[in-house]
Amino acid sequence: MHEFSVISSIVELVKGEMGKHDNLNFVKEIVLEVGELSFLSHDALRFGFRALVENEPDIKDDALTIIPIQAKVKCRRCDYEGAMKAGETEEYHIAIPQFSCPECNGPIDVLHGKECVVRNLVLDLEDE
Amino acid sequence: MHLVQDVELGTDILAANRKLAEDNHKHLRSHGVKCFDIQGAIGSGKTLIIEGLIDILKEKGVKCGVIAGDVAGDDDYRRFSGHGIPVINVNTGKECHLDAHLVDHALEKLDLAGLDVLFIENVGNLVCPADFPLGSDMRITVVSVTEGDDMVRKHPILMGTSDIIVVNKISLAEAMGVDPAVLERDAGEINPHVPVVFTDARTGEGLDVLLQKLGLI
Ligand SMILES: Nc1nc2c(ncn2[C@@H]2O[C@H](COP(=O)(O)OP(=O)(O)O)[C@@H](O)[C@H]2O)c(=O)[nH]1
Ligand SMILES: [Mg+2]
Ligand SMILES: [Zn+2]
Ligand SMILES: [Zn+2]
Repeated sequence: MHEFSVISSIVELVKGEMGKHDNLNFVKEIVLEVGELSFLSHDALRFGFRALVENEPDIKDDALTIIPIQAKVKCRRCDYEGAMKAGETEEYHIAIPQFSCPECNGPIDVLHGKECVVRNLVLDLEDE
Repeated sequence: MHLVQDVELGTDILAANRKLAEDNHKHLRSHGVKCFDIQGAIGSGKTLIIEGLIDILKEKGVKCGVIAGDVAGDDDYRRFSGHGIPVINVNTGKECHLDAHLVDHALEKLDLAGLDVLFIENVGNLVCPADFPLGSDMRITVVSVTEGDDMVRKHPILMGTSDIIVVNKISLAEAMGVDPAVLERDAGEINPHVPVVFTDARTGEGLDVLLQKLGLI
């Protein structure tokens, strides 16, 4: 599992941002968007995060907020752009994502859903 | 007094790898090298399939090279080297997948001008490589019938985003009580545009069809 190396990069990024604020009290929130087509487990990300910030007094250990991002696709055949077809297959009665156009069944390209974006940080600063 | 400040970042942690993958792709293109990366579980037959493809291509005068990715060791490296082709061994250590950066370094060690086709064998791991494109033209996912007939539907995202699905060890299907048609049907439900190729790397069955789908014959 590569969640630990991903979360390490995130913490490094956050630390870089912290260095820009002399009056920082602590990092209150880190908002992370994770696409539903990525293979990053939210639990593993949270677990890695807690382990990493244990020795970082300036980052709150519950600072990580993960927002799932829905997949968005574009059809190569018609003009469709939007959500994926999450067809319940007749056979198994479970929602299996389907990688074809919901409108015309044509081949699709994935526009969104594979990303892992640090959207924003909420910092608690000392008002000087 | 406490002051709360919101800092907008919008930084995609996986973007650096994607950018490097695009660079690798351009680099390979500039030398006219076609590149295919193969992912699948440990023991699904990735190495044996590539070995079979190399032998057929060699006969036709196509010059192949391989990047052999593994967590540790050089077993696959030695198997590929036995075919008299350039091979680069890449050990990922603790990491569960190859990334574009590791491939970039491996490309530096290859004489790309002397190659027509490059195969990249990813680490035996069916999940992690999906988040890390390497810069190949096509990604091949190998499942073998010995992994059971639910292998495809259990991994819809992985299968749906592959360029080709290979169902290998087809000669063992009956003994395993697995109907390969089920794997093909599930693949069709997830993505009707991904070709499914049945192979048996031990006997060589279906490797010609695979080469055709790869656009190599
Ligand atoms: N019978 C049979 N055995 C196979 C086939 N493909 C691979 N094997 C055997 O399965 C084992 C694992 O194959 P290998 O190529 O090393 O798998 P990898 O870990 O995916 O690279 C080896 O003992 C192979 O000889 C096949 O199509 N049929
Ligand atoms: Mg192998
Ligand atoms: Zn991983
Ligand atoms: Zn369409």
